[in-house]
Amino acid sequence: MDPVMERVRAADPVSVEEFAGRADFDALDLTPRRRFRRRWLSLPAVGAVVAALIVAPTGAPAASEVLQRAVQAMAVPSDSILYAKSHASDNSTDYGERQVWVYGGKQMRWLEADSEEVFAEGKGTTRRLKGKVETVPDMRMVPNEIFRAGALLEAAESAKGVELSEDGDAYVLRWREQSGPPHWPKIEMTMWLDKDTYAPLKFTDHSWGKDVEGKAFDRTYTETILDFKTLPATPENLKQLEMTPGR
Amino acid sequence: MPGVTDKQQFRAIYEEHHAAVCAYFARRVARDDVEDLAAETFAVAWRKLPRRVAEPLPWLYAVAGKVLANHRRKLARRGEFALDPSTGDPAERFGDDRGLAAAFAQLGENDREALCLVAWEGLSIADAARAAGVSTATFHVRLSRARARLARLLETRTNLETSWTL
Repeated sequence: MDPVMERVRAADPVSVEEFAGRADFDALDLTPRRRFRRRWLSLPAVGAVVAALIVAPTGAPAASEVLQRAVQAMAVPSDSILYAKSHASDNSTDYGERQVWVYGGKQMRWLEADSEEVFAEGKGTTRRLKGKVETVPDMRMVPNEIFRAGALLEAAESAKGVELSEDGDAYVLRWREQSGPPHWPKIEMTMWLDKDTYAPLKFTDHSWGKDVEGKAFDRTYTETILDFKTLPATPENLKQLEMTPGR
Repeated sequence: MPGVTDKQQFRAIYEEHHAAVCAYFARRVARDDVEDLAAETFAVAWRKLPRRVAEPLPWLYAVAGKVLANHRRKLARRGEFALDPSTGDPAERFGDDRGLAAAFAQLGENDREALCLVAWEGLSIADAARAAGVSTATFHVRLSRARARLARLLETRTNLETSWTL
């Protein structure tokens, strides 16, 4: 830095350290977005607007109904364990198969071929990666995108339109997520749902545009569900939420 | 970490950058307003930040800049534009470097902000450009000119002080 800039730097009246430890996320008022949405949804005319935005094939249920049923199918009951086995990949990387167990907000286990993470309320997250095990007491795991029923609802509420189509034995919901002003990256979510059970079959997260460096990108993350079921929280089943011993 | 929710991702961003955003405001407004403006910045960022952003701090500074502008407009409407130097804009105080404070006060707002983003917030040219909402090339020119103007003002002031001493 040249002497002029160095002189300005030296006159900095504030140190970032003065504000360390003052962060209080829970005190933040993040409600405006939701208030706006509720107000918007409370307008009588909104039903007609939403209906006009939703494209549903003749004879098929409305996208909103499929969406609601999908949310119900993916909700994690507080007294049961949700189990899913899936295969994940994106344009350039095959992430392989993963298994996830979710027991309400209390416990979770994430298992891949070469890594494993276990979360238990009050104990934090224990991670095994390449044979090394470490525990982070303050870290909380949450279900991956395929389980995010709430996120699905949010996306559908904030999306300008949810399209419904059919693909063989599956309903396909597709919507755009808003990422910012028009010139920011576009994000399109697509979810394939079993027509009988509304359980998820496949999920893609397609984003494209320019990254923060101004470079063009086009990425599609795909997660194919191989198994998806709810298990009773018996002592035997709860053992599946523990880290594999001796690996 | 795989599969974090949007809110948890935002919590991580908040916890990592809260102090830096507070420092940004502490350099520009009265201390009493710092934490409220930082909270307002994160509330806006919650709605506006792109879902995928490799380095959120420049975006946060960009949001903070707009929050700051609104805050200053409110003060001006209330007739508080001329701040008391003892409680007001820290950029006008500059610690003990009175020469720099006097020279800085003669710069335009864009010049001051360009210098501060680089010297105080410690941003690279590209990140500072993002925070200022202009292209990298434009910011580069703005910073060069601001630096040159400040250097001239400091030199003039030094010459005046020297001749006064003589």
